[in-house]
Amino acid sequence: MKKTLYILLFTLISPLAKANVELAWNNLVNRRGEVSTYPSVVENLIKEGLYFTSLPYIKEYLTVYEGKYDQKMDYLIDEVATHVGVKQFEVMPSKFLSRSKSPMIKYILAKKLFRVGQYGKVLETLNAAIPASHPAKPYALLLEGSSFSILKKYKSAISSFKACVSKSESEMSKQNDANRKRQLSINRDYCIVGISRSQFANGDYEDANLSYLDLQKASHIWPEILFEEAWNSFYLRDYNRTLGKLVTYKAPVLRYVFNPEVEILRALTYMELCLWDDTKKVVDDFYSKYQSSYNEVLKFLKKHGKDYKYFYLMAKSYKNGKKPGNDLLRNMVDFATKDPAFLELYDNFHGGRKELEFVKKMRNKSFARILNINLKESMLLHRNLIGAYVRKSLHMMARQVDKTMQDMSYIKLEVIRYKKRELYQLANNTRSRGDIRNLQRTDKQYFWDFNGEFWADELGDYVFTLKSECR
Amino acid sequence: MTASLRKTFFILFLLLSIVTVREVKANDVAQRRSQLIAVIDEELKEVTRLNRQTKSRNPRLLLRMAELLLEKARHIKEQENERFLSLPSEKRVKLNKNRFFKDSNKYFIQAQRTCLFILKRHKSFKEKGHVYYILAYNAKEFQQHEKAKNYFKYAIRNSRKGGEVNSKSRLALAEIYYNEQRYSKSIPLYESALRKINDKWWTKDSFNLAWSYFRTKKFDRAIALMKKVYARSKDSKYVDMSHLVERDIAYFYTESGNTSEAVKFYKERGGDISKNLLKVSNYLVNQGKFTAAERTLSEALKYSKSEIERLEIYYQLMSLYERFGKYGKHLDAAQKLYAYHKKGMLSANQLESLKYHVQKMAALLQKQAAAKRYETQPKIRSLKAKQAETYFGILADLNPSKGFMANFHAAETNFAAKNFDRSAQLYAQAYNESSAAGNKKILNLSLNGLLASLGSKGVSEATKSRYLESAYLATIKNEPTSKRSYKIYQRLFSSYMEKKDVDNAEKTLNAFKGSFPRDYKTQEAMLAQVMEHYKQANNESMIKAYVQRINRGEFKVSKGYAKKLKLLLLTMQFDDVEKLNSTGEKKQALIDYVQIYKAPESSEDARKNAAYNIATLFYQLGDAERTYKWSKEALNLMSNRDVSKFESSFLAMATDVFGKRRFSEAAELNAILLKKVCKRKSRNKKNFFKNAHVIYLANGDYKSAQNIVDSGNACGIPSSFVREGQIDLIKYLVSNKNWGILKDRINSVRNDSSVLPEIIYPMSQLAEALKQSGRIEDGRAIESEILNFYTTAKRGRKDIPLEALDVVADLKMRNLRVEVSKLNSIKLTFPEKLYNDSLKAKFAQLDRVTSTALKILEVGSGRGIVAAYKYLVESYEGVGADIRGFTPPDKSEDYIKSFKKSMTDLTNPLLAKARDFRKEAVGQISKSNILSIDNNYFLQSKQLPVPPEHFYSRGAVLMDRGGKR
Repeated sequence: MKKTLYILLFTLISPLAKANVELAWNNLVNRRGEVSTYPSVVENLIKEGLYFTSLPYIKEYLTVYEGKYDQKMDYLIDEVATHVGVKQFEVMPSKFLSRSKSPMIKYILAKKLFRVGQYGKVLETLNAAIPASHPAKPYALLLEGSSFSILKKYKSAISSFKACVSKSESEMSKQNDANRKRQLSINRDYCIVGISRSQFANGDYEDANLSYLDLQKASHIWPEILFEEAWNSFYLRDYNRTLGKLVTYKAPVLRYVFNPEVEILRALTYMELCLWDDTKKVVDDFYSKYQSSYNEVLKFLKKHGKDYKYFYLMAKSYKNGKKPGNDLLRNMVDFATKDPAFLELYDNFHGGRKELEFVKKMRNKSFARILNINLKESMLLHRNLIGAYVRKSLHMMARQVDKTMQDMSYIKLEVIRYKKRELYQLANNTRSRGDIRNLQRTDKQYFWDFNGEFWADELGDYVFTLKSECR
Repeated sequence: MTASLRKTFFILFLLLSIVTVREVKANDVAQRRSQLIAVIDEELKEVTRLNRQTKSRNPRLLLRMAELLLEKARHIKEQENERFLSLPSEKRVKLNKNRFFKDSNKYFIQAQRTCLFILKRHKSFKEKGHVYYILAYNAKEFQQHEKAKNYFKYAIRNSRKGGEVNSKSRLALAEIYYNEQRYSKSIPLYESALRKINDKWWTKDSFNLAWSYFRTKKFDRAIALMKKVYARSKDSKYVDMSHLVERDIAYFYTESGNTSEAVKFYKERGGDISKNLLKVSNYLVNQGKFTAAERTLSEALKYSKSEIERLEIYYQLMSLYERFGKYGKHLDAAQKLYAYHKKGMLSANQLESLKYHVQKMAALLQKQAAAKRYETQPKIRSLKAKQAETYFGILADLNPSKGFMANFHAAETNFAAKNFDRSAQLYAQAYNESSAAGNKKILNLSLNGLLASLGSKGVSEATKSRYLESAYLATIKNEPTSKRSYKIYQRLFSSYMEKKDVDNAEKTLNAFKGSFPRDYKTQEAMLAQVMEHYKQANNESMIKAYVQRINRGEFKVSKGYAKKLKLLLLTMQFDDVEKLNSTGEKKQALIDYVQIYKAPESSEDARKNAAYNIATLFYQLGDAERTYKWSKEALNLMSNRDVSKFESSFLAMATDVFGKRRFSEAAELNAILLKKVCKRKSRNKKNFFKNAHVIYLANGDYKSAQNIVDSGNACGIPSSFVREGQIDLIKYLVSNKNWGILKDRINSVRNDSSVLPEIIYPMSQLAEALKQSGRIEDGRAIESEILNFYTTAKRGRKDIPLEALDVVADLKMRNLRVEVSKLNSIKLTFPEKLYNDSLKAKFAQLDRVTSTALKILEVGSGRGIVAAYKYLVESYEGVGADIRGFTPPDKSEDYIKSFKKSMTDLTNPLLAKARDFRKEAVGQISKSNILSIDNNYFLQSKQLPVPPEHFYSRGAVLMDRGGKR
């Protein structure tokens, strides 16, 4: 950032620059590049829609300026964060962020604390820090509800989530920006699910079951939440419903969902029904599907290490139709790039391009050169943030596969243990007590019972009719 | 089809069915095993995959792998075992077992390696107990029992108490200990494991625990647990051990001495008690548990209802008693069976068995009776002999034609047991019977035995008188010159002598002389007995007659014996003298003793006895000179040992000689006595020592006295006595002014710290003498040594004689005198400054005088104390007087008045102190009874110019009024 600023003093005024940009330039030149002028510089840049371009000035002001903090900056930060996302600020050290009283910065700080597991501090930070009318309020309420829930304060959590739902909806009604609307709707849905999750965590499975119904199937997050519903049914010992919900993931529309734990839950459910062969089949299928692909994914991740640019480009080319590696990797990348958080980052990044165009057209070439440098720096960081996000998502998914494979093995061992015990006990292994029709079915058959067709309104509502083989 | 054909078909069908069922069963087992192995393989594959997935980081997975490998190994081993057992035995023998069992071994080894890997890689693995458990089972599989045991111990140590592995390891270890018969170790393990494990094997493990209790004599617990096992065996959940419990519980009851409970047990179950007990006993015999079997049979005897059953029980008991060596009971059983035999109830086999038992036991007991082992246990030996005799009695009855043999053996047994009266009787009986039967061998043997019995110690006179003479005479008559007769002559002779039948003894002697004329030695021995008889009878004439016969050559005897006989005559004479002495005829006794002393044939002993007795007689008669002479003679003849015996008498005699003022003789006797007992333990040794050197000194014989004192240590005289002797010598030398020798003598004892206080005074004398002779330096050196000796003695807390203290005080007094003289030399003079300085010096010197005087007071010499006080008083008063008497010159009256007044204040405390010293001195004189030349100074109210003193002339004797004490 320094190299950007010290040359400011020697640049000349361009008579061709637009009025706001010129004002910014004049401020800088007249005050010999003093940091105290940055709030007005940023203000003028924002007026021209140069959000990424203004980022270096905001960051430097927060980190370097030691004079009286200009309250105007808080408003400017909120404005910029709305357009570039919060990630740009999240990477900054907390000690600089805490200088600002901006509700957005408070939210960012709370998010950082949440990420490191300091849930109590999250609540402290958010306490009365964000006004009800502030655009970050719905998100802050989600964070608050989640923290309460983790701290097992379910009542408070549910109350926060409910407030979040209502706040998100009211904010949505005010917004015209599609991106904003989408963000708010996702936030609302997470808060809806947050209520169910709190009830589930509190052991109120019946209540949770009903609450899950509040989530619309059209929601962005419904596919991943279906799995949670399946777990809830499992806890309610409604195994056929569990299987029904899980089978939904086989619908083509949901194939992009990457959650190996789905198979774990499926295997466990079969096991609860003492359908040993079916359990084993789930395990074996999982291994045959993932074992070798997983190894290749590991090699792939190892090869590219922390090359964030690569991961950004990979995600970008994926979106452009270029599919990398094996099925597993493709599935993982597909899932990562459909993630709302990714989408937000990605969209923000593309907003930066417009600024680039603007700067190119500036008449004051000296200032344009400076702004160009600033903008590139912000964009580069943003690109890396996207790459890092993709990388992190892939690693997490790989770990999930690894863990699932282990869990699958344990499930299989459990099945073997049952089988062995039966052999040792000289049990009559004719399985005559169950319903032969159910026993002869395979997992595939269950699927084909639907004739390979999934009706959108039926998704997630399928119920199996298997009988327990347990003795 | 006929009925029989149908039956045959039915049987055939049944057989076929059984075979088919078995085959099916076997096939079923094989199939299930294959299925199990397949499942294990599957599991193993999965665990291996998981382990790879987790990069071997999870020791639990490794443990599971090891468990699976072990499990698989066991199944394969079972398969191999089945195949192995199905092979013909010849083929089995030739097989290479390692190769045959290679498949199972491979998995055992893999399991083991995996376990060892876990232990190496995951040292802090919490489930190490499981790992050790597998290792232990592996080791067990490979017959490495010690290793297995250790691993089980580790498994117990490294697993949670009460957990499955812990309990199973305990059970396994318990079983190992059980099989090793280390029941005290197996018990706690079984107990703790069975508290946790209640599977189908509970009954079997508890059965083992019950046996462990039983083996460690915890019968109640053993029985209670057996009952529990019996009860649970009825439950299909457990392995049925009831059959074994039924078999063993009776044994437990029997062994715990509670056979009635066993009976109750059988009664509860119904049936013939004695028959069941007989069964139990049979089982116990087969198990080698003979004691319990015997107890059971004894109990069965109580419940037996028929004689045949009793006969059977006795028959079995007899065998058991034989095993245990319970001879009394065996004999009883044998007698019972003999009674049944008389009733004709024994079968031929049983009779043969009875004969065998009786013969065996008779022989055994005979052997035992003759064994050395019972030589010191005569009662047991006699009992055994008696039992053997009874067996021989039964044997004689069972085989009458050989009865003499049985009686002969019975006699032999009694002889061996030293029951000579009984053996003589039985030998005589056997002799008569064998004579009647015409068996010469037994006849001779019986006669020999009879003679031997009669010739043995302990045979009663009654028996001897009944059988001896006739037996001897018969033998001599039959074989006069035989070797046996040679002994019999002597025995017969002894027999006569014992009966004091000297006539017949002489006849026997003569007969012996006729048969064995050249055996002079035996003749001489016989003759000696005859002589002894006459000596006892004091028949001097017969002895003289025999001496004459010997002289005539009638009996040939050795020279020594001839001389002995002569001496015998002399001794008889000696006895007479002693009689004279005791009757008061001392003069005659003296004459006779002198004759014995002088007689050339008198032995050395006789002479020394005579000399001693003569000395004693002269002592009694008060003849000191002869007492001395004969004592000295006796002492010369006597050995040191003899002198020790008579030392008190000799001491009395020596004292008497001294009392009669024969000093040199008395000293000499004491010196000889000391020399004789010097190296021996003696009560009077120290007296001889003291008497000798004191008398020698009194007699002026310093050299002899010195010799005695110097020999003290070598003779073991107590050091206090020797020290006293040394001091006596020194004192003697002082009193005789023998300064040259004195100095040497002092030098010889100066290293003995105990003597030092005693030699201070003699040293002072020596110092004085040296100074007198002009050797002042030598004298001073000794004086300085005296002070050293005094210091050493005082440090050693030794008692120091008063005269020595006086010497020390005198020496120290010199210093005091010097200090006093210095005090007196300080003169008071003016002007004031000079006066003050001199006054100061005077007080300082007075202080030195005081401290020097105090040191003398500490010595404790009366003379020194009084003198020191005298100096103190004089000094304090002197200083006081000096000060008071001083008048400053050339001063005004007022000044002088004021000066005097202040000086009076100064001198008052000094004079008061002087008065205190006086009082203290008077007090000390009175309290410690001090007699000093300076007493006069304190006790006389009027001071005399010269102190009064008593002088006595040397050699005068101070008379003491004895008066009434």
